[in-house]
Amino acid sequence: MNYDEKKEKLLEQLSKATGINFQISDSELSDEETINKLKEMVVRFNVLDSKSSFYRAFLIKELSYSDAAGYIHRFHINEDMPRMLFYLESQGDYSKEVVSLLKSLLPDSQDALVQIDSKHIALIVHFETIPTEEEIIQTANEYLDMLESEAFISFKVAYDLPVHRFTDLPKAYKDTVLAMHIGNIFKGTDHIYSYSTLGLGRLLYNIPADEVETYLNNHINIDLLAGLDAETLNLLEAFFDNDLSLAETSRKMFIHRNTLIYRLDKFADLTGYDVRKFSDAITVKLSLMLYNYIRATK
Amino acid sequence: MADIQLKNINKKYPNGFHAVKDFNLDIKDQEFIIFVGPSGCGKSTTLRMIAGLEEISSGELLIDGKLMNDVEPKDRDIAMVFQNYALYPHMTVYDNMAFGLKLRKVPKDEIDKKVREAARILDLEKLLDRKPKALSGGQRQRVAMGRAIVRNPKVFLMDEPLSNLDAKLRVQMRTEISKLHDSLGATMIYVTHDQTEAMTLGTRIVVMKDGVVQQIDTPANLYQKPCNLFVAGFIGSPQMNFLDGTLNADCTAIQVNGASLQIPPAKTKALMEAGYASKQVILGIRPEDIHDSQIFVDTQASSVIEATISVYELLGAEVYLYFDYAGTQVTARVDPRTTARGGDTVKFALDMEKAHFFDKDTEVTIAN
Repeated sequence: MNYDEKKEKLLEQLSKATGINFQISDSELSDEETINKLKEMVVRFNVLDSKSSFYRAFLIKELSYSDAAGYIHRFHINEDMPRMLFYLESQGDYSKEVVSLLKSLLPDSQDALVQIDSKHIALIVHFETIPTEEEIIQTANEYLDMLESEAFISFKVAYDLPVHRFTDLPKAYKDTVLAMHIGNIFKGTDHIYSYSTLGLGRLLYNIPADEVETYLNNHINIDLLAGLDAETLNLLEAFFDNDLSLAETSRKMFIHRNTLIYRLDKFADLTGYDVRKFSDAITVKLSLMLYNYIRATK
Repeated sequence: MADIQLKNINKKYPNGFHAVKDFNLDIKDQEFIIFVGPSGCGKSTTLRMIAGLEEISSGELLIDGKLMNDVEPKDRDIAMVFQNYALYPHMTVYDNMAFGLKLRKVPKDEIDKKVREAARILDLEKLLDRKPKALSGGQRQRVAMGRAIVRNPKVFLMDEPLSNLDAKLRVQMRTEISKLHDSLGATMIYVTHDQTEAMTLGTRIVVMKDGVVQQIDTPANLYQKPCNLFVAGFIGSPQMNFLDGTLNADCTAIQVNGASLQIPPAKTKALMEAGYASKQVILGIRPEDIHDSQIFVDTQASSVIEATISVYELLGAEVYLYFDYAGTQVTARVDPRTTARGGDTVKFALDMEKAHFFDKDTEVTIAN
């Protein structure tokens, strides 16, 4: 689409939003500046339409706080109350039924459902008191289970810490979007991601891919990692999750302690890393995470 | 009517994780099937593939003979009940149950009929006008079930539906679900990590581990004839005790920590036929098959071990005695009238008729 076509389209949108026909004449602005100005106007006029479109523009920072102030007042939004932002991602495009179901769970005027695009929805939910981590996870699980059992659609949900002021919502939105992205890379089979518990993933995500590959090839070869079977991967994860405890891991995995030792020995023979040693365990844990990162980015 | 067939079902995620491997199962109409296994074993993934919430990587899913792989979840005639049941806070119990049908534009009188029938089955008739806040945990769970029942599905899929309830309520709801299965006559598939739930509810149980089906059998058979060490350890609470031992040349006895335990003829025959003479094996013995009473010790003198009790636990109807033997912690479930206490050195008789033998390397059962 060239500049003129873009301008034409934006003017059309502006006319649709305002009912007024606009024309551009004797503008000193460059084409790009004109387009940006038009975009800004479209956003501003559109947000007048509904609370939901206001929230959307505010979250994705198309609207500054000073521009938002009027709408906050107009929509009777209480600025100082604990809120959670849940960012939902569906496997396919979600239906109108999904929106109806979620709206029914948020009857309070201080809550909001924001349709970001055909696969993403942000839910802004207020709490009377600051929710505990347990309450947050329970709420997230309820959304997922309800959507699956009522609308037969699978979602993932990401969240950040509770926000105390309305102005913090755009940052929370940015963090939850990132949490979804990083979570999908490092914890792809999970359905709930918390920005604050992404742990190493948040750090590793920023390392350039070529450096990751160099690290892996200096430690555990990528081909070797690719060849590990699910049973070994599960066992290693369980061993790390249980603080390298043989007794606890064998109990949780319902396997004989000697079987666990045998499998860890086998892994050590294969890779040269004995995960019962703390330093080797760190290397293997890191390598597995980096390998997932490489796979996802490729 | 709903027969379900899973043929060579696999689930492989884009990151290469193979969550379910070659899953095969025929579920008969009105059967109550349980998927059980530890966290991450693939049981929920399998259920979600049946529901259509997860794509099947390979294999075939048939409901009543019709291939369902590419059928939309909403068109599979199923209903799901999960652990986290979100009720609409501003709606009454009636509206909570009716809401899904309203969205699907079901006629009003039909909705009313279905909701009242579900309320009758679930004993919620007197609560229809209440809001969720005024309900107990068990009542809320019943409303969640009501939302599934009003769909009148061929198949009910339940994923750990009782996990959020306290222990007492869980036992109560377990009975309710069992009754519900009888009254609805629908096919039910129920996922749990709790082997007690599995044993009490299921007509058949599928035990899974690392995405692989370990054994599909009735609760009694799983308990008495586990096919491998994993199933033997997973089914039963407290879990089966496992001791390393060496068989003698004619498999009539096993040496464990210096004690020679005599093996009954039927098991001897099985061990000999499988070629385990003089080999190392794992002996499995359930806690209730270890006795401390004098009568047992006297009559089963050929299978007695001696150990010092480390912990004595009185549970009311029974006592658990814990002791170390051959480097393994062993649990015995004995009569509460036992005089044994922590620190005592006691003789225990093992009921070798009930003993299990497993291959030390493959962990497969040799003799039950």
